[in-house]
Amino acid sequence: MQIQLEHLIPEPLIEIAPKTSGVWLRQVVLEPSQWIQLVAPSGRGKSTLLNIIYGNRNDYQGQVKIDGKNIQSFTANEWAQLRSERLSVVFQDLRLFADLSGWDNLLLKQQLTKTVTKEQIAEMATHLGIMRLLDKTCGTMSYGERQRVAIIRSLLQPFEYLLLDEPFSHLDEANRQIAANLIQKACAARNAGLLIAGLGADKYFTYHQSLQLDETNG
Amino acid sequence: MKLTGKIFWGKQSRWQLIVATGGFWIGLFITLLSIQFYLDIRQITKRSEDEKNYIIVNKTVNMANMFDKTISMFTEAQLDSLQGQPFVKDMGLFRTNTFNIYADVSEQMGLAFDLYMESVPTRFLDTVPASFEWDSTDNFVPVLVASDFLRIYNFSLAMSQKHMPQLSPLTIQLIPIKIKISGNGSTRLLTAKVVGFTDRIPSVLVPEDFLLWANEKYGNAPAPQPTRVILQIDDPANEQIKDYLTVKNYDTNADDLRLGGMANTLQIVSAISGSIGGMFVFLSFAIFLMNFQLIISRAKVEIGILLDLGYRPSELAKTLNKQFMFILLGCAASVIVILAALVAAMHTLLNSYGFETGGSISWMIPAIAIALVLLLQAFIYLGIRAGIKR
Repeated sequence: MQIQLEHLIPEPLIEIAPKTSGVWLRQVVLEPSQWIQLVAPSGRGKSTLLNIIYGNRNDYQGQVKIDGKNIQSFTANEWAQLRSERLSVVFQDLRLFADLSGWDNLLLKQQLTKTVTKEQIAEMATHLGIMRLLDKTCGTMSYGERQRVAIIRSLLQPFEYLLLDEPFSHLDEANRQIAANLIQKACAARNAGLLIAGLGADKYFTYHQSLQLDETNG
Repeated sequence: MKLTGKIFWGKQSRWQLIVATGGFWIGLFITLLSIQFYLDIRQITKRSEDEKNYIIVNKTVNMANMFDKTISMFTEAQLDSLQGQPFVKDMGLFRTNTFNIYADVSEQMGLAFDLYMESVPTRFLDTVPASFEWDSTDNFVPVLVASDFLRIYNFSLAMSQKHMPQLSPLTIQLIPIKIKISGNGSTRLLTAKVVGFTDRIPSVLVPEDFLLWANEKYGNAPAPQPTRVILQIDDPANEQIKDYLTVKNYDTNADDLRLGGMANTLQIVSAISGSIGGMFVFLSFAIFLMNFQLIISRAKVEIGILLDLGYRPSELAKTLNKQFMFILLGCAASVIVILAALVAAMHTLLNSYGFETGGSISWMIPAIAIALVLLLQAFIYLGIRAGIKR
C-alpha cells in the first residue's frame, strides 16, 4: 500500500503551520512496507494526520491518496474493507469499549476479521503481561494496560500499513521493548509498512524515513 | 453480532431502553384501546342512529275511541298530508288481520291464545331473514316478533307462571305454532314459526302478501284504513316533526323525538373520546421517538469505534434495526393479546347492560398496530442511518 500526501494541510493549522514543515503542504509519499517515524511536539497535528489518513477527518485542504486513489472518494463499505483488511491503527485515545472486558474488546476485532485464533491472542496477551487482566472491563484498567489491549487488537487483522499514535506513552521501558518486538514481528510477517507518531526520535524500530511535522533543519 | 448487541444495550442505554419500551407499550395500549372503544361506541350509536330515523305514528287514544274505533284510523287525506311533509322520506302502512286467528302451542308451552298479525312493507324492516317469505302453496307462515315481546315473555310472564319455561331466541325459533285462521265462512290450519326478531316495530309481523291474501279470502269485513304508519324521516332532531305531530294530535313511539335536541349526545361523546385517543397517539409517539433517538445518539461513540474497527455501516444499521424491530413487534403482540382478553371480558359486561358489541377486537386493531410499528421503525431506521453516517 502506498500513501500519498499532496499539499495536505488541516484547516485548523492553515494559519499556524510553519512554512518549513516536512509534511504540511508538501508532496510526501509513504512507500509500501516502509517504516516511518513521524516526529513533532504535542499539538502540531500528529493525531490529526493519522485521523485524516484513516478517513475520520475531512477538514483539510490538499489530497490524500491510497494506491493513487483519493480517499475522499471511498464509500463507507470501501472504508470498512480497508480498515478490516489493509490498514490498522492504534489511536492515541485507544478507542476501546470501557464497558466491555479486555477479551470482548479483542474478540470484536477477531470475530470481524477471523484471521487470528484465540490461542494466538492469549499468547500475545501473555507476552505483554496482561493475560490475567483480560476479564476486567477496560474502564477499570490502567492506561498502560489499556494501551497494550489496543496494541494487541491492532494486530488481529491483516494489514499493509499500521498507524500508531504514541502507542508506548504509558508503558515502562521493559514493556515498550516487548511491545515493539511484537509489532515488529507482526509487520515483518505481513511485509507491512509502519507509521509511528511520537514526541521525539525513538530507538525501537529501524526506520526507513523520519518525517518532521514541525520545522525541518534544512 | 452478539458482541455488538452487548455494546448498544450496555449499562447506560439500558434504562433509556426500558423507559422507551414502557412508554411505547403504554402508548400503544391506550391508542389501540381508545380506537377499539371508539369503534364499539360508533357501532352502538350507528345502530341507534339508524333506528331513530324510523318512527311509528298513530292517533292519540282518548275517551271517544272507546265507542268508535274508526276514530283511530287515518283517512286518505290525512295519509296524503303526512306523506307530503318535507321531513318524511318514506311512509309505510301497517295492515292488520280482519279474520280470526287462534294460536296453539299447548304441546310445548301449555299455551293457546287469540292472536293478531300485522304487516309493513319489507323495506321498513330492520331484520329480514331469508325465511321471511310466504309461499301460497305452502301451509307455512313465517313470523317476525318484536324483541320486546320475547323479553316481556321471558322476564315477566314465564317468571310468574310455573309451567312456562324461559326461551332463548334460538329455542323459540324451533317451536312450530299451530295456527287456525277462520272467517268468511271457512277455516284453514297453518303452521307458523318465529324466524327472527325486530327492534324497530313492536308487533307480530307476517309477510305483507300473506296478509293481503288472507284478508281477501278469510276477512270478515273489507280491509279498514290503517291505524298506524311507519315513517322514515330525514333527521330525528327536526323540530318540525314534533310540531306537526302535536298540532295533529298524533302520537309516536320515538323517545328521542320527545326529548328533541338530545339526539346527538352520544355522537358528541364518541367524538370527544376519539380525539382524546388521537392525542394519546401523538403524545406516545413523540415520547418513544425521543427516547429511541436518545439511545441512538448515545450509541454514536460506540458506532464510531465499530466503524474504526472496520464494521460495515449497513451491517450495524441492520443489527440495530433488527433489535428495535424485535422490541416493537414484541410490544405490539403483547398489547394485542391483552386487549383481546380485555375486550372479551368487556363484551360480557356491556352485553349484560344491553349494549351489543362484538366480543373480539376489530381487524383494524392489529392492522393499526402493525402500521404504527412500521411507521416508527421507518423513523428509527432513518435515525440509525443518520447516526451511523458521520
